[in-house]
This record gives sequence, C-alpha cells and structure tokens, in this order.
Amino acid sequence: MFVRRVAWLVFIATLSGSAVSAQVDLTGLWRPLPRNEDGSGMDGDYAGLPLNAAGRARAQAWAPENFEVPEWVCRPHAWDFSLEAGASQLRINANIEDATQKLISLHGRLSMREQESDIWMDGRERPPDYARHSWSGFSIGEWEGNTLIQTATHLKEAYMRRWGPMRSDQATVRIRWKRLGEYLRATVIVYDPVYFEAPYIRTSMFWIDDPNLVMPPYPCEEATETVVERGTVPHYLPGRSLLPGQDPKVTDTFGTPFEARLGGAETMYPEYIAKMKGFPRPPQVLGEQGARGQ
Amino acid sequence: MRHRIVSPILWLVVFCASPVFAQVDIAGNWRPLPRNQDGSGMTGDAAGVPLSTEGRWRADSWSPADFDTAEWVCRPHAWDYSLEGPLSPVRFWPEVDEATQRLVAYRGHIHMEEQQTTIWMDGRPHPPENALHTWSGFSTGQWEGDTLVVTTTHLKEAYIRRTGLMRSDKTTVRTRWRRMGNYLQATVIMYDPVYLSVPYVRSTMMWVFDPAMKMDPYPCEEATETAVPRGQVPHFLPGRSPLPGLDPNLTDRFNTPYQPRLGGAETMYPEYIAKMRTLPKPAKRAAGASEGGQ
Repeated sequence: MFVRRVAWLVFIATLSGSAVSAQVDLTGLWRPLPRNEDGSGMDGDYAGLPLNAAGRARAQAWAPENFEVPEWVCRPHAWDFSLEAGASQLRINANIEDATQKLISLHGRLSMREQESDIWMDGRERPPDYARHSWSGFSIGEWEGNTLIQTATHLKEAYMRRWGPMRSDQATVRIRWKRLGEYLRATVIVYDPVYFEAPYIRTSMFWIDDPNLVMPPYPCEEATETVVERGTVPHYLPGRSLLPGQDPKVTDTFGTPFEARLGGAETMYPEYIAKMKGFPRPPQVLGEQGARGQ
Repeated sequence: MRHRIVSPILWLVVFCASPVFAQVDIAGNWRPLPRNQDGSGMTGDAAGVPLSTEGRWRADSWSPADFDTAEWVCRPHAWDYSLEGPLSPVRFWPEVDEATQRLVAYRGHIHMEEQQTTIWMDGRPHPPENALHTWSGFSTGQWEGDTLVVTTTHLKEAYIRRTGLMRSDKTTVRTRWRRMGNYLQATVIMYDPVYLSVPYVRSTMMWVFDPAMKMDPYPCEEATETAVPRGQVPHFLPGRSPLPGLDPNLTDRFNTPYQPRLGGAETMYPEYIAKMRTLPKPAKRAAGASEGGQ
C-alpha cells in the first residue's frame, strides 16, 4: 500500500519553511508613494540631464504643439517614463510554466497610459537589432542577489521629460527592482548613445504593496482642441525655442542660471552647485507659471 | 496645449490614496501554516464527518489496495482536498480584462498534486448539469464584504479523507477566502446530497503571504509496487473492512468508542462528547501506526 508519490513528510519539512533563495516574488498590486518627481525646473530646463549636443538640439526643437498633432494626441508613454509619473499604480503578474513551475516572465502593467511590459526570465536571447521597436521595448530580467535587473532594448524614442528632452530609440534602459518587505523600489538607468553623453540615473521610485488597490482603465480619447494643419510638424528652429527654460533672460524662483538649464553630464553632480554660483543670474524671475517639471 | 487625457495631477490625488473597498486582492504566494489537520483518528475513523447511509457504505467498501490500482496510482487530488493537505503552498494570480481592468478570474495553483483552479469573477453562470466534471470543478466567486465566496460544482468524486471517506460528484463546495493583512484563511463547506446527511464544514486553513516562497513541481510517477490484477476493483464487502477504525474491538489512544467512528451528523458537535462517554470502550488499543488521519 505504499504510495509511489514523492513522500509527503519530506516535503512538509521542506515547504513549511520559507525559501532561502535571495530571489523574491514581485507580483501583486503596488501603490506609488509620493515623492519628488524627476524634473522640477521650468519648462525647457534640462539641468541634471546628461544631454549631448544632439540631445540638446532634439530638445530645443520640440514645440508644445506636438501635443495637438492628431497622431500624437494619444501618444503612449514609454514603460520607463510611466514608471516615473504620478499615476504609476503598478501590477505585476507572473507567467509560470505548469510542468516545471519555472518563472517564464513577469508581466507588468502601469496605470499611467496603460503601459505594459514583459520581462523575460527564461534566458531567451534578444531579437536582432533590426527587430521591431515598441514603447516598452524588449526586456529580459536577471537576478543580482535580491535585485531584479530588467534590461530593455528595442525601444521607440520617448520622453525623458514631457517637454522636449528625449531618449533615442537606440537607448538601453536598465531598471533595478528591489523588494524590501512591503516596499518595492525601482532605479532606472538610461544608456543612450545618441542623445546622452553619460548614463542617466533616474531618481529611485517607491511603491507599497496594497492588495486593496484598484487599477482603473486609463483611456485616452482623441479630440481636436487646437487645429494643427495636416502635414505640419511643430518645431522650433535652433535658438528659437519659446520655452522659458531656454530663455537666457528669465529665471525661476531658485534663480537657476541659463547655462545650467542647457543640461549636460556635469549638471548631474552636486559639485556643479559651486560652479553654478559663479554664473550670472537672469534678471527676470518667473513665478509658478514657468515652473512645471514633468 | 491642454491635454485631452485625464490630468496626471488629478490621478495622483485619486491613486495615491488607498481605496476603501472591502474587496481585496488575494494574488500572490501563500505559505501554509502548521495546523491540526482534518481527521486525526485511526484509519477508517469517520468521527466528525456527517456521513449518510450511502456515504457510510461507500467508506466501508474502500480498500487501501485502491492505491495500487494502476489507474489510481497517480490519482489527482481534488482542489478542495489539496487545500487541506500538508503540502498546500498556494499561488493565486488574477486574469484582468485589459480594456476595462475588471477582474475576470483568479487562477490558483496548489502544490499538492499540482491542482489548479479557475475562479470566474465575471458573473458567468455555471454550465448545465451534464457538462464535464473535473477534479477542480467549475467555480464562480462573489464578494461578501471582504470575504471571497467561491462556489464549485461539476466535481468528480474525491476524497474527504484518504481512507475511504468520499464526497460525491454531486457535491457543491463552497470555499470562503478571507485575507487579513498578510494572512489568508479558507473555510470549506461541502454540500453533498449523496454521501453527507448535512453540510460539512472543514477546519479552517491558514496561509501567510510569502513573496520568497518557492513552488516546486509535484510530479507523480507511476510504478508497480504491489500488483493488482488487471480488471480487479479492490473493495471490502459490507461489514468486512479490516481498517482499524472500523473494528469494534479496537480503540485508539484516546479510547474513542466504536460508534462515533462510524460518523454521522451528530458526531460533528461538541455536545456529542457527553454521549461518547456513555458508550462502551473497546478493550484493545490499536498500535500507533494505525492512526492514519489523512
């Protein structure tokens, strides 16, 4: 009458204890915690972004009427940008192979613009360079101790901030996910050989596990408010941007000099504060209306 | 330049607060907490189970050689039975409709015998009675306050205890899932018009949320240890069961009388203890090895 199944008692001892593996489950519903968002200067302020000349030219060419172009009215936000946004409620599910119980992928969904991402955990190879690029790109995940490293390639060009600074479609985005008990942290590092002169580390973001969180849809309805003539590509020619951050004569409530607002790798570091103090302050101070951030 | 999309600021206010809905997400990895299992008497002891006459006969006819019948060596355990087993690490994950973000179903995987279930949350009706019966059956879920009430029909006949006590394929199983912080509680109630004279409330089971839990496969390999001739259905004729719990001359270390071991509705209640004290005690104590429980 011996049962051929694997013995119960051995399993009891094994399974009633918690696993000692450093890997940890990230699935669940995650509510974002309030924080300072990336970018808190004036519209057109690139301070803190390691823009190179090409990235700066791309940013300065951007015109707000981009939002009114029908094709861009419902422009999706990239996964890595939605992570940073205020409405970044997050759900992560696991895709597990039945027979082996191995994790094939994690599937994430962000409320902000309904972005979704698959993080392949099964060691599969990346597609070739010429494969399709998408808003969330192609991501693989690997564990470094208890940190999940998501590496995304095959991305479309997307916002760094929503008024001009972009990362290119050649960027590689690396997101370091770390669960600390009830909290989840993401640190995003953007490697862009086209628009950046150095990797950009986005501020760490935090969520808290919240099984009561409700994730509503985030629909976008196209509606014409300001007509942009068909075929027009809104833009500014070099040196003609109307954004306040790119106006050498104005400054914000902190008195940020114009030179710092052009961005560049050195503006990322605390040492730059000393250098900024040596720059002339623009005479005109804008009020809150000029300070936007995201 | 106003955006047609719901303002991120508004969303921030709405989403950063936790909602007050009573419904709560049960997705995640759940590690079972040690507990007294259902059924702790001698093998064949049905005390506490409200067996009807038919249920009594079904139990009496069961032979341990069933385990050696080739077709039953890898007999799956039903979802509701696996819940009760000692190897009941469980994982739930949601199936969400993308467009509406409504919960369509919960999927569940339990380690014990790799049982899986789908709990439909979208209000669909149960199929007609003649539809396929399975080990996990067809389940729908509804919220009663903060308790998820799962109703399962279309089941196959399966164990209540692994020593002959069965519920029939006409059973409706109602499982009440309740999350209390990081703890999950399940109470199973069986309504069996064939083998039970009244509903049977199975002992409450508890799990703790454990994102570090590892769910291994649970393979079953068929192997012949004791040959049962092909075509033979192991069984005992009425009154001929050699199981120690059904032997009127034997008792366990608690001196349980023979009569309560036959089960029945009245044996479920504490008041029965007083009656038991008046019943004759069998003279011979069974060896410890005969206390099988599950």
